[in-house]
Amino acid sequence: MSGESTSRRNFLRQLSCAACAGGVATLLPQLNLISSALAQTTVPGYKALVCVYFAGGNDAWNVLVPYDQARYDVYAASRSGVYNANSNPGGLAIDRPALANTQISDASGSYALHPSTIDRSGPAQPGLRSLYNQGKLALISNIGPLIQPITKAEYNSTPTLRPPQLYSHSDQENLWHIGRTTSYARGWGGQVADLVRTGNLNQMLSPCISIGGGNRFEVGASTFPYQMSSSGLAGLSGMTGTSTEGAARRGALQQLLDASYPSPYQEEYRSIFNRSRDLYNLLNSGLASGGIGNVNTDFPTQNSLADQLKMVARMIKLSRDTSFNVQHSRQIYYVRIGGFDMHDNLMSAGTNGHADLVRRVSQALGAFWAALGEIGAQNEVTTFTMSEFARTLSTNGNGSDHAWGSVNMILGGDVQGGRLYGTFPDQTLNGPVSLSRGQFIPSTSVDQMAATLARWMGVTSTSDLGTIFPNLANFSSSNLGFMLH
Amino acid sequence: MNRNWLTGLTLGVSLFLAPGVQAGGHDPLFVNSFEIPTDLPGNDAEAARFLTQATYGPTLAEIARLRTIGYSEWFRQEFNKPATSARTYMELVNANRIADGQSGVSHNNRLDRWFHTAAIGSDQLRQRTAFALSQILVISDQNSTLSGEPIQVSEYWDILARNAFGNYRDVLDEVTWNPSMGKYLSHFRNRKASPDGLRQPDENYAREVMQLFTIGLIERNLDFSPILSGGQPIPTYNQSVVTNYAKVFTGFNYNNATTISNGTNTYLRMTCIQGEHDTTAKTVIGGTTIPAGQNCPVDVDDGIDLLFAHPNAAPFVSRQLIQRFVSSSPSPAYIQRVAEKFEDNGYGERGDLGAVIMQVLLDPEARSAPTANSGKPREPLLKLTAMWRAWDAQMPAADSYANIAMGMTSPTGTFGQRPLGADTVFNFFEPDYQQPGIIAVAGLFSPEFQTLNESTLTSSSNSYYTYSWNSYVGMSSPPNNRPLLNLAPLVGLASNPAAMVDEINKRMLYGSMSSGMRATLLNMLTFMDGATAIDKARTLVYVTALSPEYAVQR
Repeated sequence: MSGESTSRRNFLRQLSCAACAGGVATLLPQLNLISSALAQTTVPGYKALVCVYFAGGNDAWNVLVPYDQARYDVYAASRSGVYNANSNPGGLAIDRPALANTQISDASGSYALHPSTIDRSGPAQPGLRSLYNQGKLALISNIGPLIQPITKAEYNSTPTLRPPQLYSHSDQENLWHIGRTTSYARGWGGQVADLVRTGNLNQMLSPCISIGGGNRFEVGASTFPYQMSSSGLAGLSGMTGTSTEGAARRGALQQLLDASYPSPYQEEYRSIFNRSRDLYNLLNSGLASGGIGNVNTDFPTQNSLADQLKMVARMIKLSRDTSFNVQHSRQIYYVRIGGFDMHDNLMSAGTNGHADLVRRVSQALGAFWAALGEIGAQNEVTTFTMSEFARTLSTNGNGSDHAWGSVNMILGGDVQGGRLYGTFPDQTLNGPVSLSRGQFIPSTSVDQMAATLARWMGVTSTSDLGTIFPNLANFSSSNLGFMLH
Repeated sequence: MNRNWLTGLTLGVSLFLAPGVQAGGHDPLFVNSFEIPTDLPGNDAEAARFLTQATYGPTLAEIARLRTIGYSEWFRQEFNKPATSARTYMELVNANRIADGQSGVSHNNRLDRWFHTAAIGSDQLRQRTAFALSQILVISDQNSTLSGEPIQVSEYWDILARNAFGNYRDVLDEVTWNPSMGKYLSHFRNRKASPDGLRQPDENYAREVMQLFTIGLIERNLDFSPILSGGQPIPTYNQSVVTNYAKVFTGFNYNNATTISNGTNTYLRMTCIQGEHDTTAKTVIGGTTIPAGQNCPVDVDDGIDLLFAHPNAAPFVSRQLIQRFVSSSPSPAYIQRVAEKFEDNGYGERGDLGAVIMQVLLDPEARSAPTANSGKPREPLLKLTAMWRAWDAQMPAADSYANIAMGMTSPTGTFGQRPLGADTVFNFFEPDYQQPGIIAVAGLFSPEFQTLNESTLTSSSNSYYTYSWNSYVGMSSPPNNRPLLNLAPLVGLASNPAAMVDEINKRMLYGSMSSGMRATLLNMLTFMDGATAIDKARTLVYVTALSPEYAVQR
C-alpha cells in the first residue's frame, strides 16, 4: 500500500456510501434505444458465439459413423470389430443395427450419428440427430490443427511441416484456442472480441464470458474473459447490510482494494477482487430469482454441460435486454465438459463410457436450443465444438488413444446445417490419409472453421483475418460456407 | 540416502566464521555448498516468513522452536519425522464403519484427513513436500477408476510423504509401480500389441511420465532456459519415443495377479505379467535402445533410469518445487542453484530431494528481503490452513468411527483445488501460466492465478468467512465438524487496537504488514469502537484473510 494516504476522513467517506461496494455499476445510465411505439426490447443485430470445449480428446469417429455397408465394414474392421462386453471387449465399433435410429445423410453418402443423439424424452427437446435433420446442425469432417495442407508422404518425410507437439493434450488444446501453430498468448475468440466489442454498451463486462473456467481462447489484447460459475454469482459474506460493523468491514476492504502495491501479484489480486465486486452488483439483480435473466426451459440434471449452457442462455437474455445495463451486441461464451480422454472404458454402457458422455452433450445442446427458442435468439447464437484431437480408430485393449483429425459440430439458426463440410476420410488403418492407428491427417484446418465463425461475427477483412490466423492463406478457402449470413 | 552431511551439521563444528557474527550457541555453517550466513532467523518475522514458505503456516510455538534450534537443526528434525499416515487412518475408519453396518470410507474422509494433518500434523515439511510432489506426479480421484478407491489413493499420498526427502528416482519407481497411478494413466493391465497389430499398447503413461514427471517438452539448460537450435526450441522426444515407452510399460497388474486379468484390488505395488510384457527392443529417449529379451522390471528400470539421468530432469523438477514453496518466477540463477543440488547433493548423489528442498528454502533468493517481483500468490488451500495454524485452531472431536470432520470435502468448487483431485493430469494450475495483463507484460509466471477468478475469489473468501467468523472457540452452539479458531489472544488485546493489529501482523503476515494496511485496520477498529471484543477479533482475521497482503507471500 502507498504510504499514509489513508485518513480517517477518507475512511468515513467510504463508509457513508453503504450501497457502494464497488460503485461504478450504479453510475451507468439506462438507455432507450428507440423511443417510439415500436420500441425494441433486445439489442438489434446481436450475435454470439458459444464455444463448447470437449476436454480430453473426443472419440469423434464414433459420433459420426459411415452407414453404407462397404464403408461401415471398413470402420468396424479398423476399430477391431463391434464391441461386445463378453465376446469382443476390445472392439470399439458400434453395432450397425444400433445406428439405424440416428441415420443421417449427406451428398457424400449415408451416415449415422451416435445412438445417444436421439431426442430427449420427457420435455420434448431435439437431440443432435434431429437438429441435423432440421438443418440447424452442421458437421465438419476431418478437421484439426495444420500449418498448411499436408499429404501423408509429406507427414512422413518432413516433420517440420507437422503442427508442433501432436498428440499432447495441452499443446493441441492450445492450438485450437489460439488458431495458429506458433506460440501466442492470445486466443482467436479474444482477438475477434477485440474487434467487434465496440458496439457493446457496458464495457466493464467483458464481451467474453466463461462458465467453463479459465481459457486462452477468450483472451485478446483488450479482452479478458469474465468468469462465472454455472450456479450464478455469490455475494461476499459479511460485507453487506447496514450495521456499523458491516460498514466498517466494507470500508476497510475497499481501502485495501483501492491501495496500490509494489508486487504485481498483489496488484493483480486486487484487480480481480475489484472486478468481482463491481460485476456482482451489476449482474446480480438480473440473475436473482424473478429477475430479467431467467429462462423457464427445462434443462437436464446431473449434466454439468447443461448447467453451464443454462447460465449462458440466461446471460444472453440479460445481455440483450435494453432495460438492463449490459446491452452487448457481440458476445463470446465458453463452456467446457471433460471426461473424453477414454484410454479405458470407451465402450462402457455406464456413466464412465463415451455413450453416456455423448448423451449428456446431445441433451444439453438440445435444451440449450430450446432455451434459445424461448428467448428468441436461435438465429443470433452460433454454437460450435472444439476438442484437442479425435482418438485412434484402433483399440488399445479397451479404449482409444490420442489421434488428430476430428469431427466438429456447428449449431445455430443461421447455420446451413443438415450436411457435412470437409471430407470424410478413408478409414483404413495406415490408409491414404491415416497413420498406423487410424489417426487422420486433417483435410480441413482449425483456421478455416474459426475464420468462418469470425467472419459471421463481423471480422470480414482479409487483413484482419490474416492477423488473427497467420496460416489462413495456406488453405484453399477462408470460408467453409456453413453460415447462411 | 547419504546422510553424512547432516551428521556433520549436528556436530556443531564451525569451520568458517563470517565476519561480524556474534559468538553464541550457534555459529554460521559452511558445509559443502550449503552456505548459510547465519543459521538462526534474525527475529520472529524471519522465522515466520520461512515457516510460511516451508509449512502449512507458522504457529507461535513453531516460530519459537525455529528461533531456538536454527535452520539446520530444524531441517534435521523435519527429515527425521515419520510421515503422518493417511492410509492407516482410512483403514481404521473404514473398519469401524463396516463393523457398524455402515458404508465404507469415501474420498470425503480422505479430504478430512488431509485437512487435519495439514492443520496440526507434526511432519509439516514432509507433508508440504508431499503436496508439492502431488502437483507434479498427479493422480486424481476425479478419474472414474479412482473415484471409488479412497484407501488406495490415500496410500499414494503416503508414498509421496514417505519418500519426500528420499531420492527422486525412488519416487519415480514407486509412482510407476503404484496401482492408482497405473489406473489413472492407464498402464495398469496394459498389454503388449496383439499379433495382428490392431491392438497397440496404451501410450498414456509413456507420454506423461516424460512430459510432466521428468523432462518436459523441450531441451533446457540447468537454469531452465530453453536450449535453442537455429533460434528454435528442441523437442525432447517425438511420437516414436512415446510409442516405444508404451511398450516398456506393459504387463502391469495387481500385486498378487498371475495373469493380466486376475488379482486382488489392493494398494500394494503392482506386479508385472511377463507374458503380456513387450520384450522387443525399444528405442527410447536420446536414441538409446533398451535391448530385446529383458524381463519387465529390468525394462522399466532401464526406461526410467534414462529419464532420471536426462539433463532436463534437474531444472524441470527443481523449478516446480521452487514454485510450490517460494516463488512463481524464480531467477535462472536460483533455479540453477537448486538444479545443481538435484544433480549432486554434495556427496555425489543425484536426485536427493532433501538436499533439493533445503536449497529451495535456504537459497538467498528465498531468504533475502523480497523484491517487487518475488514471491507468489498463495494457494487458496494454504491460506486456509495458515489461518487455522495462526490461531491454534481447536480440532473437532472424532466421531464414533474415529473420523474427524473438517467441514469441507469438495473444495474444488470453492477453492479451485482438491488434493489428489485435480481435473486433469496437468494439476490445478500449470507452471508456465502467465496471467494476461501486468504479470504477463512483466514476464512473470503465476500458476495460482489460473484458478483464481471472479468466481473462485468470492467463493474462497466466503469460505474464509465461515472458518473464521463462524468458527471460533467460545461461540454459542459451535459447529462440531470444523476447526475453531482460538481468538483469545486477540480478544485479550481488545483494549489496545495497535496491539491487536500487531498480533495479526505477527501471526498472519510474518511481520510484513504495510503501514497503509496497518492504518486501515486501526481506522476500522476505531470506527467499530462499540463492537464486542470478539467481533473486533474475528473482523480483523476475516478482513486480513481477504487482503492482498495475505493473498501473496513474499
